[in-house]
Amino acid sequence: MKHTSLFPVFAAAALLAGCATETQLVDKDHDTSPLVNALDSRDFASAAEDMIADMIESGALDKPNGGRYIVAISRVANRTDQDIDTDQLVKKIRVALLKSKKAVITTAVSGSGAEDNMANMVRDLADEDMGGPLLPELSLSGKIESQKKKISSSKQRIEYIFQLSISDVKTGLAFWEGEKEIVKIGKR
Amino acid sequence: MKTFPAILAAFALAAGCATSRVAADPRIVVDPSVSSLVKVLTVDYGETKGANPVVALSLQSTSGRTRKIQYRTVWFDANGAPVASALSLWKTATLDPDEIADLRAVAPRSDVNGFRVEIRKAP
Repeated sequence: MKHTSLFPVFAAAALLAGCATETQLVDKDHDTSPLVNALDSRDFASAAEDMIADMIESGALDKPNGGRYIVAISRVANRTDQDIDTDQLVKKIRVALLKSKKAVITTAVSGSGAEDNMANMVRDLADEDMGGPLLPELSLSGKIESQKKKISSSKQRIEYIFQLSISDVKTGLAFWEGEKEIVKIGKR
Repeated sequence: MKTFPAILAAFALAAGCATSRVAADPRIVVDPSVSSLVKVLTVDYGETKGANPVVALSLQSTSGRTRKIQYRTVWFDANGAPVASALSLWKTATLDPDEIADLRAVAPRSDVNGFRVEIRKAP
């Protein structure tokens, strides 16, 4: 009797094992997984790469007397109909700017308040007057837009436009502006 | 005895076929999957004091069909180690028959000490 009662349990376990999703690690240098209509990490990496290259090559971040600019991250707006974390783009640019040794990023000031309030808190606690945190000289801002166009009853063209600016915070003058377009054609 | 040089020659030929074909410039590595489809026309490397070096590559399709290739530039530091960077991603280029494409890459830092451009077939 025991043998017969265990059979359905084994069968169910085998069935579940067979249905388990196989997860694979993706080597990003050989990522051939299908593209999707929405923006994915490959799009952010591609947009960031082009913009960083343009930013660096333009010389806008080469400080006339040497040294590094202090850059604050202002707002990068998401004007698409997707729920996008624009940090996916901004973080890549921040990392590249730091590695380029042309700029440092302040976390004490940003478009949405202090990213890391520790610098301000330490200044409040210190016995001696440390003054305020170093003020940013430049700010990075921008937006991501999308436009959809119907191609046929089943296909659509989606244009994603990444726009970034680096401005002098004192004068409001733009030192650098960049735009990158990613176009996809997919199912509606 | 006569067969020995022939065997050696066969080995040399086989060994030659097994390695990646390198264009005239050793800094340009063309994968065998595209070596018969593209040829490198020019390689220019610009270095200005204080600014980040730039490499510009002129590539011509030798295929009779439209082809997609991928390329990336790996930059090296003073010790010859690759510099990890968001500027070394594989990028895709589409080449029509006989089309000449100008590829350009900027170094992530001003103190890089060399580069390698890799070209392969797009998946």
